[in-house]
Amino acid sequence: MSLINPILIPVYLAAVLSGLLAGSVSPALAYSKSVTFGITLMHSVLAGALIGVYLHDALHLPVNPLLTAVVMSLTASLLTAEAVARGFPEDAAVAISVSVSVSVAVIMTYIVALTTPYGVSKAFGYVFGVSALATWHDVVRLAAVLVMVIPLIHLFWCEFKYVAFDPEGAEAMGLPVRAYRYLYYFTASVAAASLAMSLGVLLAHIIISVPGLLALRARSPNPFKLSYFVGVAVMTIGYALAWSLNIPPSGGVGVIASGALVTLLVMRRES
Amino acid sequence: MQHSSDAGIEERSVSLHNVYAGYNGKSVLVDVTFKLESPFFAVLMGPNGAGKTTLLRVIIGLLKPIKGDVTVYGIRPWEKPEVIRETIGYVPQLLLVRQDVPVRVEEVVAMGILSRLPPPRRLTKRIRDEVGKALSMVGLEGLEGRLFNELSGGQKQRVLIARALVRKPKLLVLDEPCSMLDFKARCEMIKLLQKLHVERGVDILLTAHDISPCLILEPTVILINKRVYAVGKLRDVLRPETLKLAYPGMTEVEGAIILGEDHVPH
Repeated sequence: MSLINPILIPVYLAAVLSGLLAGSVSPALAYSKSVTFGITLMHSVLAGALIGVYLHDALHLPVNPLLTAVVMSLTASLLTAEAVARGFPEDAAVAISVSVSVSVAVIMTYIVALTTPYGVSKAFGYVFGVSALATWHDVVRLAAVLVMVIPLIHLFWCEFKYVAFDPEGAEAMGLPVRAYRYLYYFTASVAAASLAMSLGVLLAHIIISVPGLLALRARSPNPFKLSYFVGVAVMTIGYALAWSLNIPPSGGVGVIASGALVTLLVMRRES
Repeated sequence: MQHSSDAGIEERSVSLHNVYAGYNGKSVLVDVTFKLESPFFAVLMGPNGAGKTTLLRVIIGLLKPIKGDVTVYGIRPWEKPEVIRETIGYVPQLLLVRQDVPVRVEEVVAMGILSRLPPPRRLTKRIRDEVGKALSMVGLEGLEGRLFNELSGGQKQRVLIARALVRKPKLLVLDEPCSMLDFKARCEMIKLLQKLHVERGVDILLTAHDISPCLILEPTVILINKRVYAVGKLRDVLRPETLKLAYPGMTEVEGAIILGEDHVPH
């Protein structure tokens, strides 16, 4: 299939918007040592999708599994923020929310397997994603989330960075540190859930961590130019590579993202 | 210097009376009582785990005591946190500041002013001017554009002090400002604090393991290990029989004293 086939327009648009979305939230996660937050999201989206599938397919309730997936990922993000606010280091807070999400996912997998014939595979579909089939619906959803997330991130970037830099000093000066933590985990969760629905959680996990890590390594006080550039470049070049080599888009993006991470390793070694 | 918090301050002392404070219901500080009359240059001295940082957190209003009373220039910190924030400039331990986050010196100092304003918090010319003045007070003029993590340990401490000074505080509270510095840098740091105390009338309260750089200033020393063992001038507090109480691991060797870091409470 040609790279400029009209059918690919929403796919590439979704790739660009996903890159921008990831580029916007990634620096806040990298600066606050929370890049592994993607793992929380992966498991919470799975748990939420399983709950949704159970409610919809087994109990025949009018519930959209995508919605329960988002609700579950937001809950996990709030749990992470609360754990940090209560004094856990960021990585430990992520571990706590991962544990809770995995527990729910395991229990729900068992229940869904018992009560529905194809429920588990349906729920796992949300985790592995269908990025090759991005539709105009996905483009609109990503654009809507982008319009909400980017102004929020830029409006509060100064505060997010300061809370990551010196939380105790920030609190002593009267900044509502806990509220800002909630806000950035919440914002990241909304962005990541949207990315996960369009791209699949595995791809979302990759794309949400790479731009911020590179920006942090570049030591720029204003990381967004690099972060947006990396986000969009990884997504679009990854998609183009995938179509050229006839491999899944996640694979193409993964290859480019891995290349970026190897570059990061080289930069670390040389500095 | 006109302190931002001068208006409304009647009492000129920092006073703690029978204070118990700690975490999760467990007291780190036991029956702490002392009073510092302004102007003061005071050093909280004690071994690791003695509760020095906890005491500072109580004074700046980040921790409410379990029992007892605290007043800072007549104000209970946890009752009027917004007034206390204007009265006290707090300099946390450098260890608690994330060194890998790329923040410019200017941004660090400006947060002292920006934190008073509602979002969006942006650097204006007026704020940049204030930042420049605060940096010149600590001898770091011209470093506005440098990254914080590229500075030396002493310079980083000075930046954090400038961030506190930009708020024009009446009291400067510093948690281990001399840690991670060599002896020369410690002496320079203490000289800077003395200058701020004498020339600008800022009261100083700091914690320290090693108070030797402060000796020349004859500060008020508060000897603490969970409870206060002595408060007074150096020559009254730094006596073997007093030090032994707060430093159970202290050893006397032919006229010299070795202070242990054992913090077993009495």
